[in-house]
Amino acid sequence: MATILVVDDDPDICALLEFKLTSGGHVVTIENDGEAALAALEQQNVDLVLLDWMMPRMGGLEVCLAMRADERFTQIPVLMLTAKAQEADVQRGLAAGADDYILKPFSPREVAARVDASLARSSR
Amino acid sequence: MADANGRLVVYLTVVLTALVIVLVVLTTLARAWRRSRERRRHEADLIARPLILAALDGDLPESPVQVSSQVGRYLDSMAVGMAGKLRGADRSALADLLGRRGTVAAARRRTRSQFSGRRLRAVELLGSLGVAEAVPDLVARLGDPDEEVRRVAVRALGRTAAPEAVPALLALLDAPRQTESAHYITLALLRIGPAGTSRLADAVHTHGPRGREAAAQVLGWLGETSAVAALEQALQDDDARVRSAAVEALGRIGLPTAAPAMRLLLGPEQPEAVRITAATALGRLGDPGSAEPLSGLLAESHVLARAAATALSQLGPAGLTMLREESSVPESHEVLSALTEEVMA
Repeated sequence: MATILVVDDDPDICALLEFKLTSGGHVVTIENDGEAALAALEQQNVDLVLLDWMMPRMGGLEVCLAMRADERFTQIPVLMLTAKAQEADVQRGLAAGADDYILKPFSPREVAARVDASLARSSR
Repeated sequence: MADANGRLVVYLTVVLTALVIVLVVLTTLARAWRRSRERRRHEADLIARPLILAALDGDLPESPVQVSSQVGRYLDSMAVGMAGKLRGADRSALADLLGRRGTVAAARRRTRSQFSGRRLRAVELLGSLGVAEAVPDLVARLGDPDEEVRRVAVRALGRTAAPEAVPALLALLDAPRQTESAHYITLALLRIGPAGTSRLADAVHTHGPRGREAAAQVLGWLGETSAVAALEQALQDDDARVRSAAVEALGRIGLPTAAPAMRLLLGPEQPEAVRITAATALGRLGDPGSAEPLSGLLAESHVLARAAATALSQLGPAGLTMLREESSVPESHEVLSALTEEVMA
C-alpha cells in the first residue's frame, strides 16, 4: 500500500483516479492546484505524485521542477498526466524530472498499472 | 394639500413595503429552490456515482440499469462527461452502461430530430462515448444543414476510431461545397489511427484529389510502413499536391527502399513545390544514395537550392562531402556555416 498524491483541477479525473487507485489498495490524497500539492508534500509522506500539467495558481511542470530542486522530494516518482501531447511537451515534462508521461484522454487501468510499476522501481 | 401629501406618503410606504416583502419572498424561494436542487443532485450522485464506478470496474449486474428519470439524466450527463476524458476499455465500459439504459439508442434516434440543438447534443453524446455502432448515424450528419452539427459529427467520427468512417471523412474534402475545415477532418482521421490504414491506402488512389492528398498525409503522420507501396504509386499521381503529400509521407515513414522512387520527383519536369518537398523528404530519410541527385539541385532557384543543401546536411558523410565540394554555392555555404556554428555552440 502506498500513499499517492493526485493533483488535478478536474474533479471527474480526481474521482476516477481515486476510485481506481483506492481499489488497487493505495491511499489517495487529492489536491486541485500546484501550490496546494507542494503544501501537501510538506505535511505528509507521499510515495508517488500523479500530476496534471495545466492547473490554476501553479502548473504541474513548476511543481515537478520544485520537487526536483528540493532534496526531500527528489526520490518521489512523478507521473505527468496531461493533454499536452506534442513531442516537445513530452520532452519538457521528462526534462523537468517526471518519471513517466501519460496522455489524456487516459485509461485509469493503464494509469494504475504505471503507478504500480513506478512504485516497484522506486522501492528497489 | 396636507391631506394629499399624507396620502402620497402612505401610498409610497405601502408600495415600498410590498416590494420589500416580494423581494424577501423571492429570495427565500430562490434559496429554497437552490437547496432543493443541491439535495436532489446529491441524492442522484449517491446512486449514479457507484453505478459509474462499478461499470469502470466491470462489476455491473447483467440486469438492465433502472433508475428514476431524474437520476437517469444525472447519470447520463456524468457518464458522458467522464467518457470524454477516458479511452480504451474504460470508455467502452461507460458506453455499455449508457447502452443498457437505452441512452445510446435514444441518441441515435435523436440524430434525426428536426431540431438542430437535439441533433447536436445527440452527436456530441455519441462522440464522447465513441459508439462504433453509431457510425452510420454520424456519417449521415456529415451532410447536416447545420454547420455546428457537421463539425461535431466530424470530431465524433474520429472519436469512434471506426475505420468505416475514413471514406466518408475523406469524401468531404472533395465535396462540391466543401465547408468543413480540412484541419478537423485530418485530426479525426489521425484519431482513428492505424485501424484506418488499409482504407487510407485505398483512398490514396480512389478518392478525389484533396481526399487523396489528405490520405497520403495521414499515412505519413501515422508512420505506416504497410502503406509504402500505395504511397510510391501515388508519386505518379496527376495532381501535384498529391505527389507532394506522398513524397513527404514516405520521408516521414523512413523506409530507405522508397528513396529511388522519391528521387524521381526531383526532376525538372516537376513543379518547384514538389521538388522542394521531395528534397526535404529525402533529407529526412537520410539515404546517402540521394547525395548526388540533391547536389544537382544546388544550381537551381534559391529556395530549391536551400532545401537541397539542408537535405544534404542530413545525409551524413556523403552529403557533407557534396556540400563542401559545392561550398562556392551560397546556399551550401550558408548551411555549412550554420552547421559549424551549431558544433561550436
